[in-house]
Amino acid sequence: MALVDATRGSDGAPVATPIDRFLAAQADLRVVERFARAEVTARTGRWSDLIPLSAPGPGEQYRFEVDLDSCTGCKACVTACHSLNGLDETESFRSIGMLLSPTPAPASAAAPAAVAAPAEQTVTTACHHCLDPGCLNGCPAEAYEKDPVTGIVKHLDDACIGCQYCTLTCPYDVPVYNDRLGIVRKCDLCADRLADGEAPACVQGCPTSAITVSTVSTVTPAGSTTQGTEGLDGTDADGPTERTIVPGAAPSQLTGPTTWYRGRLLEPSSPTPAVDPTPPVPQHDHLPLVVMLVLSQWSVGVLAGSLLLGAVTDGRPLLSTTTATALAAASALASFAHLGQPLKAWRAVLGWSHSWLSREVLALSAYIGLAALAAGLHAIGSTGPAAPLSVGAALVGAATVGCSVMIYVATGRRWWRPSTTAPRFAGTVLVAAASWAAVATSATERGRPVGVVAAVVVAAVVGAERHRDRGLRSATDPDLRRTATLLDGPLAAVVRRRLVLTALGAAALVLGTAAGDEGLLPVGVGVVAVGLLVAGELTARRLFFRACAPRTMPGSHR
Amino acid sequence: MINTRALRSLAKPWTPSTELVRTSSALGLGQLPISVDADAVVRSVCGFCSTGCSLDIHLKDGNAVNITPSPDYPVNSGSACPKGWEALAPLDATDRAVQPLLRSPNGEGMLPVSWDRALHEFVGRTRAVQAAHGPEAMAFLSTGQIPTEEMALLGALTKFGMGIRHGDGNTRQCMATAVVAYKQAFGFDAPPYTYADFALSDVIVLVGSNLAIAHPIMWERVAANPHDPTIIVVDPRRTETAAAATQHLALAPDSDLDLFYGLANLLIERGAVDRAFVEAHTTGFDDFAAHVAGYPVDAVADRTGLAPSALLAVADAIAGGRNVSFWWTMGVNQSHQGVRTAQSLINLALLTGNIGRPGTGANSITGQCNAMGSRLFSNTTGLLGGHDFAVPEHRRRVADVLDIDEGRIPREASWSYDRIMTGIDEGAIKGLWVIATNTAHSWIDQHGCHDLLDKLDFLVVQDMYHSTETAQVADLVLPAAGWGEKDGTFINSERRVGHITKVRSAPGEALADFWIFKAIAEAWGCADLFEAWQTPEHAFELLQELSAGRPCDITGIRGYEMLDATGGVQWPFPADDGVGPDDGTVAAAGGRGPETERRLFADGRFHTPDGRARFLFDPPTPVAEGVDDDFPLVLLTGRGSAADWHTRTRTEKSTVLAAMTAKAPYAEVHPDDVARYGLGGGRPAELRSRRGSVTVDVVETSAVQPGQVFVNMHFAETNRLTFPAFDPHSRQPAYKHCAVRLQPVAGSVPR
Repeated sequence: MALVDATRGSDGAPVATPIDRFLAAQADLRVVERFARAEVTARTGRWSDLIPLSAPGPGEQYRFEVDLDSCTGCKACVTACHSLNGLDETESFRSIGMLLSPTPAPASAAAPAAVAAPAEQTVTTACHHCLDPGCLNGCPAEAYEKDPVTGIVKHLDDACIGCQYCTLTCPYDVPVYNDRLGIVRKCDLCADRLADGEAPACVQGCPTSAITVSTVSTVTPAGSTTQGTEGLDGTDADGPTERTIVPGAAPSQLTGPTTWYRGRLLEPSSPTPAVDPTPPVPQHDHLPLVVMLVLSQWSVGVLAGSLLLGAVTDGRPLLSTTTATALAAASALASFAHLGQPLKAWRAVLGWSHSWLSREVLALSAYIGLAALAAGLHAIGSTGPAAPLSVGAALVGAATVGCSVMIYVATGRRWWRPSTTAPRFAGTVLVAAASWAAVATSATERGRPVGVVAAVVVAAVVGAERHRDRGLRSATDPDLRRTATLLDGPLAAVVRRRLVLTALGAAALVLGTAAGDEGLLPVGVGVVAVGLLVAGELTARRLFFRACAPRTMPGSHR
Repeated sequence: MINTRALRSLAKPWTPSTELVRTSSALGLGQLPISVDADAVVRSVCGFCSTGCSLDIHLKDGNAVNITPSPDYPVNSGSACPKGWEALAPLDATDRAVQPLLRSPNGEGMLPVSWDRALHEFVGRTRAVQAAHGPEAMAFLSTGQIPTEEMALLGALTKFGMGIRHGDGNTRQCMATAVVAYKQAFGFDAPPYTYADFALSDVIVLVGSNLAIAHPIMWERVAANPHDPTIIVVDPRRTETAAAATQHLALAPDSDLDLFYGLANLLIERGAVDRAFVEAHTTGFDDFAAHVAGYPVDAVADRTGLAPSALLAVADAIAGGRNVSFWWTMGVNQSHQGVRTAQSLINLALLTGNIGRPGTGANSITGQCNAMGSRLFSNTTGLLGGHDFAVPEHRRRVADVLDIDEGRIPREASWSYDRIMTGIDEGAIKGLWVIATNTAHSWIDQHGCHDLLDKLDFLVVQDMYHSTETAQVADLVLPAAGWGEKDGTFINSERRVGHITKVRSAPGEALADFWIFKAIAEAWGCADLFEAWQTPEHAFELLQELSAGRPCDITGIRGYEMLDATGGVQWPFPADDGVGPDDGTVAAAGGRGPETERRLFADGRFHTPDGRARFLFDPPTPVAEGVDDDFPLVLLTGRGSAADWHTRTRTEKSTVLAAMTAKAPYAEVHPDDVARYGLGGGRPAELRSRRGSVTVDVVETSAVQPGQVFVNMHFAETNRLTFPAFDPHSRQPAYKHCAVRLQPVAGSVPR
């Protein structure tokens, strides 16, 4: 049978083909008007018994309560939060994870299953509205506030500068950076809904009422959690028993999370400890911060190296102060690159009374000013006042490095504790100072011994670092073990790169200074050496971020 | 001291972010973000699973912008699983098919063509296949995902208009077993329950059903049961549902038939038989009792791996329960002996008289949103409207209603899905038209399946996406509109006919499947046969008329308005059945409304010729591929997460859903086996069957028993492993059992 040409009428003129009619029918949306409702049964009444009837009294605040036995793992809470709060496509203030029971649960009815822990337990999590919020304490821009009545920790989107420091100080990965807006956002416990007597989105979304909001006492000292979370033991090598809100979570001592998880899995009598099945993964490397840290530390090292060298020979003060100023300025510029809202950068000093990030900003600014002034004085030959000014600049520089150390120490992350972060950052200063001294003397008769000493200093710094990192393998602290897993596994190649770059840099230092010639060769070798060493330090600093993957909340395999 | 509050206020003029500010919805939807504050809502039944939740689709300036679960719909009363919340996201995907695509002459790549060209190709090449190899050489594979009106038009067009004999649906993969079990035992494919029964039972037996994950909103009913029910879960795996149960029977895989015969024996032994019911309403009990006498508790305990005390405890619970309900899902259906296993549950309900009363029943929970519509109206295995191709009066009646020549109606049912696939292999089928399903991913034994698809002369895929595994190997892709872009009805698991509403226009030139079928009818030259099928709503009226007098009679429904106003109507609802109060809204829509929750067989009358239900049984048969030294582990498959739907073609399009699902295939392995096969340490493993292998992440968990491995069905790789065994009665594939082994991937590093 031949196909009928439906596109032409008998007179050959085009007519509306069937397909045109069907496309028109497809585009017709009048049915919407036919079935549209101008009102629906109020959604909100159904959940009214899942939230407190009144605002918290003095010494109380709101908290989430999660009944793990009622939670089946359907994950509707995550989508409800996403949809009812108008969040971006990738965004939800709730997330889910999973705990597994590694040892067998009773396989038959001989043992009452009702009291046995589940083999797999989904854990839903949002902001824990901590008693002592890490996000708020760390924020340099005063973009957080803890509501004095409800205890809800709110993020003030307007005030956020997008520095993302709170993503490091929150032990639970709650604030998440939003690329489109250049700020972080987080759960506010649907404060406006609660004020209206309406349940938060996640509470509305849960088919089995596993999530509720209740009131909790805040009288217990900050840093420990409130009732209902006792008995959740994890072991800590270095200190007393840790408490966590669920197995596998960050220690509650850090911020005093208020969420109360309950269920068979968490009973002290539960036969099997639950584990988070997800292995640690390398974290974001925050490249602008890597550059900022290394450049600022290198700058301080150059200045210090020059001053030390100046005690015995020509420290090349003009060149060193100029270089230090330039490096510090570049470092500050790099930190701008990390801000989602660079125009609001000035706000970064607002938190000076509690945020080490604010203090670092202030110290770095002062350091740049002093170093620049010293450089200027050297440039006009006014070496008299320049020398003490340089010393002052170096001291302020050291304070800047100290603030940098404290920024990471303050997160409470085990791998960033003072005993490792301070030598790490100071190590960069030392490497910079040593290589400055070597390069500055390379064309003189002191070049060879200084070069050798510099190489030894570099080797000592890196050797100590390697010694510390290898020591993690035998750590009992779970977070340090996670770091060791990353350094030996997915990041092993980066570790090797760090060592090779630095070893080559140290060798080049010796080579460059050994030449003992006034020609271009030693200068060239010196530049190469410094380049390799800087690259080594940048790699080390990337590892500093990438290998820091402490427990937050349980992850998920499905 | 610096006044930081004052400084903070300085920032205000620069700030962009008021987007999360909410306002109280004037519609009663609670607080909503200003950006998506709705000015109207339209109700539509969800298009994923068979629960049939109603979703309030929020409209703003005529655009569908958001979804909340309908608070006043009898199925879900304000709740939805994550798929329902995200039901709009798959419509916006970038890989939507927006115009017909034709494979280029050199075979590489697909070229966009006009609809006229596509239809020309479709008709020309289908006719060529039929001319060369006979009219039966073109077959179709349909779906439980499209509205009843569409699947009925497809069935009518192909079989009455195009001379196509063989067509089946992906419903073969999920509920064919339940269909056959019910047809044989009750005389009609009639799941007897209503969801209220979940909350009315005092003993709930769930078999092969991870209800909490697969049907979260049904589980909501169980969780809300006020009678402190005893919940017994029969599943090899300690699923979320099993963990929430009173009693979990972690039986050996595929030993459930032994278990239920053994339980029947125990119940008979202790006199728990409802003699009055059995005598009045069933046949075959004595033979059944004699059969199960051969299943003493110790032997059953041995075969199932369960403690005798566990069996006794379950028998006690069933015998002691006032309202006992038995529910099953894919763990039963997807077995090599699924029909008899389903019937072994029906037998338990019959012998204890647990049917027809609130909180009772032998209840199949089905899978897809419109599997139940397909069971009655797809015109594949059964003739339209719950009729039988083999019965002359049925053919006559259908011909009368549709005003077509009776001779156009085939006298036999179609080949089943597996038979169509075998037909391709044998060369009997040379052309295949795949509608809204993803055969290349979901069919059992995937390597074989891919080879088969390669053998076809002409493969047409009609789908929302040009990217499905099957569309990628098609010769012609027809772009289809999706849920939300079309009108029609679904029938859910409890027989509730619900309405879906078009709220979006489709992208590009995509058309609702209904219009594609109409267009093909035009191009084929048989449009006159389908004159009466002007719109989905006209089609619905035809289907109502076809259902008249059948057990699934829905002639009482007064149009889509009534479905929308009443919250769906369960079948049967004949025109002369004025059940239930008139609440005014229904009267406005032109009819009386039925009671909200209705169940079948309250009078003990079944649909068999003698009105009695049948006890049906057979001895268990061994699995098709048992374990041995080379392949010592049993592979279990199932749903992985409530955020995944089947082959993921839609759910992977929602970023929020995708973020909550596994990124790479994983296998759940018992700690003993992790140690035995040297796995773990975060390294991937190779999971291999005789048919293929998959690299998986190892998840160490006591949720599975030693000797068993669980993988989810959402990864395309899973069906590289499965073994093509089928239930002999239902021809449903036995996805739940094959033999595999596990070994570390040589030289792998933790990932």
